[in-house]
Amino acid sequence: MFERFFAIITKELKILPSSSIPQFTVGILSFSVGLISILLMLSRGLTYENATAILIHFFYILTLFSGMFLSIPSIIYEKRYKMLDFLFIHSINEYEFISAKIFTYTFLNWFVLSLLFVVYSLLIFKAPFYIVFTCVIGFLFLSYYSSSIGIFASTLTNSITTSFFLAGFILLLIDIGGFLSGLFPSPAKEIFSYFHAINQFIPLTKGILSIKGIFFFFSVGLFFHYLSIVVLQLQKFKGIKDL
Amino acid sequence: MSRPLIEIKNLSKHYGTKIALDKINIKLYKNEVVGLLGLNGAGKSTCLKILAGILPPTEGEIYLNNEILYSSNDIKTNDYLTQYKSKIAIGYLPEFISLYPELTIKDFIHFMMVIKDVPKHLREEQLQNAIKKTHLEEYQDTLIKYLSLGYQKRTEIAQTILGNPTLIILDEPISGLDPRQIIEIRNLIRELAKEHTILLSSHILSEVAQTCDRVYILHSGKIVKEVEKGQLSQIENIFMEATNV
Repeated sequence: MFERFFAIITKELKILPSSSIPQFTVGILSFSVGLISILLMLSRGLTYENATAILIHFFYILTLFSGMFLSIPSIIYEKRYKMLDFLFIHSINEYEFISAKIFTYTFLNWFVLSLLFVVYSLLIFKAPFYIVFTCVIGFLFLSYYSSSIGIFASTLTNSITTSFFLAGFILLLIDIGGFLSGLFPSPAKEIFSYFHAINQFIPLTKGILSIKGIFFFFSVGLFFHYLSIVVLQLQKFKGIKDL
Repeated sequence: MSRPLIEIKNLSKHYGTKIALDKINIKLYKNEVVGLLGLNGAGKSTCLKILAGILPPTEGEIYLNNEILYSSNDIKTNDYLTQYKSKIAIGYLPEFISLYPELTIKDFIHFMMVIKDVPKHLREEQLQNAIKKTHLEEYQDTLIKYLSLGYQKRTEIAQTILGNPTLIILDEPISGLDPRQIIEIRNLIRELAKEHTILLSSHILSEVAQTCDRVYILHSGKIVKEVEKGQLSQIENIFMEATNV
């Protein structure tokens, strides 16, 4: 089982250099971070503390978007190469397949984002180490959360663009859904009021290793991780009814 | 002839009210190349997918060496995919190219070996064997996307022989190939038949006649004619007659 899991990860990593999406994502990330850093440094009257807070929030959004950008093409390409049904003829199952993909893109996204974040926050903005540490931990779960949503969206469609819109909509709903909770009757109201992803991240930006926040991102990520498996199971071999 | 290696009895596949296969009977003998010939939509791919363990049949029986491999009376449709595949090793070449263009031939075959659960100690030997048999030695470290269609087909065929399958199923193995590539793939199929039993589908009459030992003509989901080796030279007339074209 683990061998097939690691075979998928190795395959994903070998394919990455030939695909333009990761390079594009890293390029956009570096450019965006550089740009925001310059803007922050040019802003008069901004303290290091405020600048760090803005930088962390900026990285929060970047982590969500890059997780989505990295993970979505992976499933879409499997569909385009007609490999999805073909692989499932063999011993591999949906659990291994989806988990290996999410694992790969979670860690890839986390590694790139954390590296950039540590360089900018510690070396340029002189942020305290404990804040950088909690944020880096937070980015790991945030990467899992965004990659799971990206993979889930891509299992539902055959188009990268549609998947981006779908994943973006889900992310937005979870981020601002709490504001809309008043529109729903109880118990939906209570459930929706919990949907303030950014609020769950705020303690981490203050150097507090919030278990509640970490659990929020992990549990939502796990939910979409499981949904992706279910969707793939339902779709299995449906595309090959070629009468 | 001796007893068949694989025997299919009264195999049917229904998609709702539409009948894709209607109680077909097929016998496959060891080291034979058997062709399924039919018009588009005749049910060739459906039949091959059932035998590959991709699609569950609606009813029928499949025997391996006279021992029951599948019976619609005993196995629920949902269990077909796992139960059938656990009893027989099959190599399958899909109709459309299914490859990772960004992997090299060697990496792709190695990946497929892991996915097919080929034991670790056999992998290097099987990798070399598959590459040698399909004459891909020169290109084994080349990215698949840089290969011609003929070599991409060879790479796909190379993955079908991993795990030493009892039956190799080739769905339209020569579609889209130029004449030279067709001859090369035909020779390759004949070579593979020395060690495996091969079932292939095609709608190209001349090709089937030249590659196969026996041919089943499939029309509207039914086997309408079985053509023996001696009759293959008249395949065109037999096909026209059988399908009423």
